[in-house]
Amino acid sequence: MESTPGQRQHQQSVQTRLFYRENSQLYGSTAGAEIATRNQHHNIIPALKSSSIVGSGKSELRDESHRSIGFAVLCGPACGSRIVVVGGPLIGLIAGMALTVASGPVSKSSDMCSKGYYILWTLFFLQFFTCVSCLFEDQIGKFDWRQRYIGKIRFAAFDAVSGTRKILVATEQNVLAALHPKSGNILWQQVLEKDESVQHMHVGKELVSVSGGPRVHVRAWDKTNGLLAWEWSLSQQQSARARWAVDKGRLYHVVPLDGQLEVSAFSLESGFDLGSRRLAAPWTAGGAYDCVLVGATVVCVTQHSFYWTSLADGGAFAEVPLASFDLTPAAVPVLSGVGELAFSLRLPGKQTVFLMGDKGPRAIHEASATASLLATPFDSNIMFKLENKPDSSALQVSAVSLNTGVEVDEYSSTLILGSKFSPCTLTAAICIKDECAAVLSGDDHTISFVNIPGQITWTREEALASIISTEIIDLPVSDLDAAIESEFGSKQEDLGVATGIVGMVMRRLTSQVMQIKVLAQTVLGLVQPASSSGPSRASLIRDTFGLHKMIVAVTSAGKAFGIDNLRGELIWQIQLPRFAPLHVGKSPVVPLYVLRTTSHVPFTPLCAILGKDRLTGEGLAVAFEPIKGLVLSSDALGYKVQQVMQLPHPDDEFLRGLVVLDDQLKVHAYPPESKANAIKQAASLYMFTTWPAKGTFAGFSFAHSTKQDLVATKVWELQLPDGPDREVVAVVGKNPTERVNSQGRVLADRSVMYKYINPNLIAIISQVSDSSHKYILNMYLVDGVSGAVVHSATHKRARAPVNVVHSENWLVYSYFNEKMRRTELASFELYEGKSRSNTTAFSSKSNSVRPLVEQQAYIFPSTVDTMKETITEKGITSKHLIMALPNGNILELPWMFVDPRRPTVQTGEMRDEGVIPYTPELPIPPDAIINYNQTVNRVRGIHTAPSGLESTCLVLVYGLDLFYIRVAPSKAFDLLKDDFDHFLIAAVLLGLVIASYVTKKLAARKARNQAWK
Amino acid sequence: MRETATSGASKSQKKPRWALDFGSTRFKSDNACSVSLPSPPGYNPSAVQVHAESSKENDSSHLIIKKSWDLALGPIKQVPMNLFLMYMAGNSISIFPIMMVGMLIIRPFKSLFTMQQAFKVIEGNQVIGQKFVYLIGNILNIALALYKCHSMGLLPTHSSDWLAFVEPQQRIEYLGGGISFT
Repeated sequence: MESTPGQRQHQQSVQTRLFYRENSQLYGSTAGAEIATRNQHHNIIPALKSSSIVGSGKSELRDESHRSIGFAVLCGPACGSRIVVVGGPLIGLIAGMALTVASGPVSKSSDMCSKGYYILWTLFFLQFFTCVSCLFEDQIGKFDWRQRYIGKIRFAAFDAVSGTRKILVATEQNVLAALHPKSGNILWQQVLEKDESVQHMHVGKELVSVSGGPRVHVRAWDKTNGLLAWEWSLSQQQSARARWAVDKGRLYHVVPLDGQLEVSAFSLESGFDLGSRRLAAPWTAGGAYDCVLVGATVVCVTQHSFYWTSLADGGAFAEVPLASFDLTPAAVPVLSGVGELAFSLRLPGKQTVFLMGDKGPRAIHEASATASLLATPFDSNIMFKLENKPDSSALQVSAVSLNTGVEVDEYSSTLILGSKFSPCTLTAAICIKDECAAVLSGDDHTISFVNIPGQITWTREEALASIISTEIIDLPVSDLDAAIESEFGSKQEDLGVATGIVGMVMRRLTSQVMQIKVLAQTVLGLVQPASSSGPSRASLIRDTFGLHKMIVAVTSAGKAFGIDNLRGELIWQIQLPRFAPLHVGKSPVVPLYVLRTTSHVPFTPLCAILGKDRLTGEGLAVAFEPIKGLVLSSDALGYKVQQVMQLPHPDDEFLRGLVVLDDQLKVHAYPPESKANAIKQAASLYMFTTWPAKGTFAGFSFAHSTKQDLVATKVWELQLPDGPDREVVAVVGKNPTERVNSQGRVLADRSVMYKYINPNLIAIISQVSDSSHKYILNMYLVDGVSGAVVHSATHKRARAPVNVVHSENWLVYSYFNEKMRRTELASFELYEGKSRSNTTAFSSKSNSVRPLVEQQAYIFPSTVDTMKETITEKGITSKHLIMALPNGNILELPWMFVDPRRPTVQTGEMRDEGVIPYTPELPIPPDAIINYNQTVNRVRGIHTAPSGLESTCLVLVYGLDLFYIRVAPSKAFDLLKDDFDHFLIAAVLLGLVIASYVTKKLAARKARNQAWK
Repeated sequence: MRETATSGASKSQKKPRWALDFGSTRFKSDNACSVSLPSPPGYNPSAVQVHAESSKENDSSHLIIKKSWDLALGPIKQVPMNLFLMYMAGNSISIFPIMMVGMLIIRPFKSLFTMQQAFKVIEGNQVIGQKFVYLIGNILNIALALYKCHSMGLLPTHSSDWLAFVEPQQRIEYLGGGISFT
C-alpha cells in the first residue's frame, strides 16, 4: 500500500467482507460479526468486531480503540420491531427519539442487535433520498404501458366445452395461455420455467401439460382461470423421439430404445405407474424411421412399411408395406399428426393423408408437400388444408371431408395478407354447426385467428416476445420546422443556388413564399396539411420535450418493428425473410445502429442491422428508414461479420457509417460509400475483439490504413490465465452516447476527487472452475486501446449469472456467492486523485494514471435477471440502476445505495458528503418497483435512452413481455407536475393585477377628495 | 482662579471698543490690583497668555479636525463590534447570519464609495491622512467580512467550487468491439 499526500492506493482484493450472524429472531438472518470498515480516507482498516455486542440490555458498536461509536437497541417481535438508539451521534439520538415517540412507549428488553444502528441510519438517510416517485392511482398507465406476449405456438386447441370459448395454447417460450377468440386477448397465462419446454398438451376436462426434462412435470390447469388443478412429476430419459399421448384417463409415454419401443402408462390424475412394456421393433435399429401417435395408436413408418399398434392393449406391431398404397419413397418419409384420427405421410413433392382405422391406415387424400393439414375434433369429420401462396402473398384455406376425401367447397377461402405475408401452419381448428374457425401460426411467430369461410379476425405479433435488440429514436420535426432546417442545414451544392448574401436572401425569400403558399392553401382547405401523408404520420412529430419517440425492435423471428413509445402501438413492421441473427456464445445478437438521426432533414434517417444470411451464413446488412419502416437496401456482405463499430464522426451527409471486421481480420466499411470517411478517421479508431473459448482478447488499430483501404493492425493481445476451465462470462464497454457532467466528486473538506473517466475502459469477467474453491470469478478492467489492465479483482466461490453495468467511472455487477448462497452486487469506482493529469484531453496511450479504486460489495436479496443504468441527455441527473428481478418486478435502485464509498463508520465528514452509511443488505422497497403490479415476465434486456428533458430517462424492458416507462432519477426537476394548478395561479395573478388597478383608482380619488377639503 | 481671571482679561481685549463693559472697571482695578501684587515665583503671565492666545486662534478648526478624525476612525472603531457580532452569528448558514454578513460586507463598501462625499465638508491639511485611515478601516472591515464569508464557506476558494466549470476531457481515441460474433 503506497501512499502519497494526494493519493492513496487502495486494497485491490474484492473479497467480500459481508457476514451474517445467526440471529434469526429478527429478520431471518441478520447482519453483524465482522464488517470491513473504512476511515474517512477510504482505506480499509482492520475489521470492526461486533460479535461481542449481543449482550443483554444493549448492543454496542465499538471501533478499534474501544471507543463507543454508538449503540442500538432493537426490540424484537415482542414489541413490534421498534428501534431505539440510545447513544451515538446526536442525529441518531434525535432520530431515535423521533421513532420512539412515533412508536409509543418503548419496552426495554428483548433482543438486541447491532443492525439496529444501521437500520436506523438507513432510515434516517432514506428520508432524504426519496428518489423514487410513487404513483397515484390515476397515474397508472399514464407514463407506462405493458404488452403481454406468449411466443410462437407449439400446441393449440379450441376449448368449446366450458362456458366461454377460448383458445388454449402452449408456446415455444414455455407459456400456457388462454386467448379470447374474439379479440385475441390473453385470458390467463402461466409462465413455466425458462428451460421447461412443453412436450405435450392435451385438452380434456382440464388442460393437461407435460413439460420439462429430465424431470417431467405433468400438470392440469383449470381451463377457465388457469389455476393449477393437480400436478405430479416423473423422471424420464431424454429423447427427441419420445412421444406422449393422453387417452381415456391414461398418459402414455413412448420412447424408442434400440430395437424396442418402450411404452409406459400412467394414471393421468394420480401419476400412478401402470407399468411399462417393451414392444419389439427391430426396424428402429438404424434410426431410419418416424413415429407419430394418432389417438392411442402408435404409427411408425420406415422406408418400406407402416407399423402400428394400439397403446392400450399392447399387441405386437402390425405391418403394412408402403407399396400397397403405391408409395415408393426414396428416403424415410416424415409423419405428422392430423388431429385425433388421421396422420399424414410427407414425401418429397406430395403428402398423403391416412385415416387410422381398426384395420390399419387408409389413404384418403393427397395434398402438396407444403400444405398444412389439420382435422377438426369431434364428429364434424372435416379436415382443413392450408396452402401458402408466396407468389400472391396469400393463404389458401380449403376443407376436405374425412369420410370421402373430397374437398368441401363451401369452406374454401383465400386470405390475402399482402406485405405481412409469412408462411403459416394450422395449429387448431374447430367446427361447430357449420361455423368453422382455425388458428394459424406463422413462421414470423404471428398467431392469427381465421373464421372459415371468412377472413383473419385478429393477429398477434408474437415476434415481440423474442426481441433481440432495440433502439429508441427521435421522431422527425414537423414539416414547417423541417422547411426551416432544410433552408439552413442542407449542403450548398444540393440546392444549386448561389452562395453568399444574395443567395441566402433568395433562398429565404423562396422558402417564405413557399410557406405562405402552404399556409394559404391550408387555411382555404385546398390541400390537406402535408404531414398527413400516412395514416399515423400526423402524430409522429417530435414534441417539445422529446418524450415522444420511436422504438425500433429487431426480433429473432426475422422481423423488425417500429413502436410508438407513448402508447405502444405498432407503427410499422418489416419482414426480413433471409435475415438471421448473429450469435455471441449461444445467445442471439443483432447489432443495430442509427447511421443517421432524424435531425438532418433533407436526408432520410437511416438505421442498419447486421446479421447473417439464413442460407449461406455470410454477413447480411439491412438498411432501413426507422420512422416509416422502409427497407432501403439488403446487402449480402460476402464475408462473415466478426466485429463491428460505428464511426464517431459523421461525414458531410451526416452519415455515421460502420467499420466491420470480418473473420479473416479484413476491414470493411458499411455502407461502402462511408469508406472515405472511415479512412479519414482511421488514425483515432481502435477495435477490440474477444474469443471467449480461448480467453484471448486482441486490440486492433486502423492507423495503418492506406488512402484506399482500411487495414487493421493488431496492437495488443491479452490472454487470460487459468487454462481451459475458464469461461469468459461478460465483456462490457461503456455506452458511447453517454456524457458525464460532473468531472469529480466533492469530498467533505470541499476538495475534489477527480473521476477516472476512461471511455475506452472495458470490464471483463471470467469464471474459472477450481478444485478447491469450486468457482472463482475474476474481473479485469482493461483499457481497450492500449490493452493495459487497469484493475483486477477476484471473488472466490462465486459464479455466474453475472450482470454488469459499466458507466461513467463506476462498475457494478451481480454474481452468485456460492459460499453464502446468495446474490451479491460488487461495486467499483475509479478516481484519478485530487488533481488531473491532463485537463483537456484523454488519451489511453499517453495516460499513465493508475486510478484509485474504491470497492464494496452488497447483499442483494433477490437474483437479478438483467441490469441497466439510466442515461440522460447531459448526464447531470443522478444515475439509477434498473434491475429486472425474476419475480417480474422491475426495481429502480439509486446508484447511491451501491456507492462503494458508503462508510461503515459514520463520521461527520461522510455525512457532509451525503454518503449513506454502509449496510450490507440492499433494500428492495416496494415503492421502488417501477412496474407496480404489472408483472413483466422473463426479462432478457433493458434499454434506456435519454429524452429531451434532462431529468427523464426512457426505459424499455423486453423479454416475454414488453414494458415501457419513463423514470426521473432526480425527480422531474425541469418539469411542472401534472397537478400543477395553472388555473389557480393565473387567477391569482389576474386578481392581483385587477386589484392593484382598482386600488390605484381608489387611491387617486381619495387623494383628490382630500385635496378639495 | 488666577487663570480664569487672566482669560477673562484676554476676552475683554477682544471685545469691540464701542461696547460698554460695566464690570470691567472693577475687574480692571482688580486686575491692576493683582498686577500690583508680585507674581509668585516662577509665574510667567506672558506664557499663559501665549498659550491661551494660540488655542483661541484654532478653536473652530480644532473642532473640525477632531470631528473629521472621529469620522476617519469610525470604521476602525467598528471592528471590535463587528468581531463580536461575527462571533455571535456563528458559521451556520441561515437567514440572520447571512443578513449580518451581508451588512458587514455592504457597509464598508458603501462608505468607501461615499468617501469623497463624507470628507467633502471637511477641509484641512490632514485630510489625506484621514482619508487613508478611513480607507484602512473600511478595508479592515471588508477583510473581516470576507473572513467571515470564508469561514461560512461562502467564498469559492475550494477546488470543488469550480468543479461545475471543469470541461470534460476531449476523447482522442475511439473504441468499439466486444465478443466475436459467430
